[in-house]
Amino acid sequence: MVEQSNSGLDLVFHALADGTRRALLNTIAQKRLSVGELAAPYEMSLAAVSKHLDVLERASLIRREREGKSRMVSLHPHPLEAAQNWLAFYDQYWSDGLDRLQATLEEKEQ
Amino acid sequence: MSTTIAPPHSGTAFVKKTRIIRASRQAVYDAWTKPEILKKWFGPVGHVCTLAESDARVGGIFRFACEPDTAAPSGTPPSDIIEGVYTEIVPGERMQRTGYRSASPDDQALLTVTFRDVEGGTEVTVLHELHERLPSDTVHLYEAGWEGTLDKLVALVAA
Repeated sequence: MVEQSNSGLDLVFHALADGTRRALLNTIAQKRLSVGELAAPYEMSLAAVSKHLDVLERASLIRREREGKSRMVSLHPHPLEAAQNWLAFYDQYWSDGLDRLQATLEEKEQ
Repeated sequence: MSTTIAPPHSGTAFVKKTRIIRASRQAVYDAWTKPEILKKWFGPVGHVCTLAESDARVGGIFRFACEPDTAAPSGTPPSDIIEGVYTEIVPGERMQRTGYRSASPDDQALLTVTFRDVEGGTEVTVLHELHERLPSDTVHLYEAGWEGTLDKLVALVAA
């Protein structure tokens, strides 16, 4: 998957649109954990947590690897940076654009 | 300050900017839709808009070509072409178009610009969204305010 593509970014933003998934990601960002350890603080089934992890994995935000009897979850930060870059780029783009629009129109009225 | 409501079917990735401009609503609307005015301001920093076509009707096309200006520092990205089609027009109030930049053709965007009378001028709101739609059953999951979370996550990851 090309992570910079529109559909890749869409998956990332979709994954991040849910509070539980953001919390999971935050936890994984600090420490590599097993699925069981990750699910422990949540009042939801392991299956429900796994579904959220599926969404994060589809967006390439995490990796799951089998290690003995457990599945370890680790962060894959690159798509997060791509999403951040998208936001930062268009934030600046329209901020600058509106500056110029404002300068053009307000100069004209004076 | 008003908050413009994002379309209910909106995707989750967006940038929204609001600005109050000391000009009439019609003047601000014209500046977004009329080629001769668009040419004066539209385009990325360090670029000048050398060509603007804008047929501001539903189904009408727009096309802007932006070239680095002579004073642009080296390393300024080369010319950028932005083109697409208008999808909604309420003259003087609201304009929506979808398109992409030649610099990142996969980056299809939906742009909604709304205009509102306020004390001392016009409030213009720009909503720039990733165009690809999410399945409708996921839209209710959307919450505002995760941008800050993302910043923190990235900072954490970068640390």
